[in-house]
Amino acid sequence: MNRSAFEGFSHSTLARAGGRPAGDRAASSAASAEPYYGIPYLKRPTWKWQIAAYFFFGGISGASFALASLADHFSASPDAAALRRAGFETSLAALLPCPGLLIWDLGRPARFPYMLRVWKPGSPMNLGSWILTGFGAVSALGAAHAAGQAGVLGPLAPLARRLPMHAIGAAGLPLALGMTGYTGVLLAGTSVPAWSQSPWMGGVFVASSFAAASDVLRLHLTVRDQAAPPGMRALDRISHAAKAAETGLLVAHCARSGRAGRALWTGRRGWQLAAGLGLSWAAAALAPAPKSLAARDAGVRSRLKRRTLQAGLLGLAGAFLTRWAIVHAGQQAADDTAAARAAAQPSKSAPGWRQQPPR
Amino acid sequence: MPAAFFTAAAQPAPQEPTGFFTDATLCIGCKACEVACKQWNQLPADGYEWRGTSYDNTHALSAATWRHVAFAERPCDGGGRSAPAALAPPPAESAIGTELGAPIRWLMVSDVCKHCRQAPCEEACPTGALIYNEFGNVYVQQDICNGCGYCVSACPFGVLDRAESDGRVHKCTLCYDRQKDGLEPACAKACPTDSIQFGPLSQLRARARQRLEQVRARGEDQAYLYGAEPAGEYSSLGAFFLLTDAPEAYNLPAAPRRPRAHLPRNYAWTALTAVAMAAVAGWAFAASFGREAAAPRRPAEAENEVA
Repeated sequence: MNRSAFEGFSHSTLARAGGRPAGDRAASSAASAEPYYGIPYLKRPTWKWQIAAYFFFGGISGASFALASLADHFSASPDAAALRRAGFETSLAALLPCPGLLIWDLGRPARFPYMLRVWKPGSPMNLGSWILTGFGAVSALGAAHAAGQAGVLGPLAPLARRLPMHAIGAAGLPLALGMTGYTGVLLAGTSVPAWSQSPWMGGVFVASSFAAASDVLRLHLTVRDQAAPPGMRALDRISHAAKAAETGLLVAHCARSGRAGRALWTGRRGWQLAAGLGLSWAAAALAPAPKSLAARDAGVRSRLKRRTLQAGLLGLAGAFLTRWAIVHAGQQAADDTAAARAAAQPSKSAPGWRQQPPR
Repeated sequence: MPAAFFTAAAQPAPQEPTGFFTDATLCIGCKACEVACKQWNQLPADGYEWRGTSYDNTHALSAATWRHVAFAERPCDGGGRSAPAALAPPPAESAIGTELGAPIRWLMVSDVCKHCRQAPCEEACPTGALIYNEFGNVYVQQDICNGCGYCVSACPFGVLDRAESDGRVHKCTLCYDRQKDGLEPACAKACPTDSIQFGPLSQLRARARQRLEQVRARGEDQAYLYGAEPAGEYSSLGAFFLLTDAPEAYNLPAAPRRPRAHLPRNYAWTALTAVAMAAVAGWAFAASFGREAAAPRRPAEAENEVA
């Protein structure tokens, strides 16, 4: 049998392994250089687009709440109050699709409440379910207060206005921060090569959530014509710092991962991740300088407003793409036998069994 | 939802931990274990495909395949022992045994859920569906599993699999039902060469060490036990193996990591990043809105950020 015939043969047969589609198998079908026919021994993560979308909405929800709570704490100015209101509203709006997405992704959706059957912080998914539950409550209270101030709750508005807003913000802050970061810890707590090889995946999600939330809050304030320079300046600074942290931590994660992390920087997922980060930075560059928003000329103001809107949308697209790429890179990495081998190399903490002397 | 949802049922008394010792040097690749497992556990077929990878048409464990016999065709020296650089990839032709002349030896082993003594799947499971049963085996409670898929990604051996048909995760139960009746698991019962041995782990380990010495004394000096002892952060395996080539030759990870061992560090770094981001945001708000507008109302509230 000649070599090319063998390769074609192995490609078509391996393509059906585990019922997986052929296209995604191409990377590992160069079976000839593999110890075991290029058959991946890891299973692909079962998580699909619903989880990427949940990471996007959940992160924005958590970080929006955190920003609202912090703005409220550090200033009593009307600008800060506007930001707080926008933050609480955004937080609840972004949170609403989350339970549905998570339930949709389950193999047995009706058993969703079983997530709260036990308290098990050693399982990031279990801890995350508790965080999501608690955060849902504070996020709803925050949004109720914001709605009460806006008077949209009708007869309930006075009641909603009487909610202890500062206490809710302070109590919700740890939960909100947990919302932004537990998702990355969840991914890192697997055996998937592209996710698990550094301790920084959680930080990537925290920073990325803050970046997306500051972008969406700028968008929100601008749509509402409350984009006063002080708040926009603060959001601009937060957005830059968060994007720098996100990019830095992601680069550090890739560097630490080595061959195991290859799915993050090659192929389709690599392009998507690069595009996600690129869009996010493009949004930062496009956003008008906060000072210029005080321009007197109405024409200039409306042009700047349009640019702020465009920047906000770009930032959101970037944040979504980043999560999309990271979640789906996990599937590519599970198929990549060389990545799996790199992640299971004997190390000091995990030496494996082959070198052990017989007892 | 049943009325007794939140009450703990009476737990069976713990027994001596049991497991499998799978001796690759005795495996003849008959697949009786695969068949016996399918039959006893009433598992459907995963398809009927000729894959051209030696005699391995099963390829991997799955939700409906809980034993899998691997067939590795490996380069060796003239005496039939592993070539020194056993992991150097063989050329394509000899990898499937078509090239005459290149010395090849045939390795077979029956793969199964490792029933790790500290199992990443059990540690990941958010619902508590995965438990250690009274025999110390890792067991999926089918009435609890909600198909979240976390164990699928957590397992460093790729054992757990979610079934499309019912959305739940299925894997080897170590024939929990048979053990409860004092029977050995179907695969071990069917194995004609006793390559698969079942019993209390302490006895199995002692037997495995004896067997290892015997095999080494007979010249198979590459032989070793895979999983009989803990290896660093990874626990010992409830189903361990005697192998004669690198783990990768059998499609096993050389040195699996235990995700839970890295969790405290991951949580710590994430909390650190979160607090840092909150501090940056607080600074940005304080600096941008101006101190003069800052409310004096809650001086002590800053502590809450660090939680």
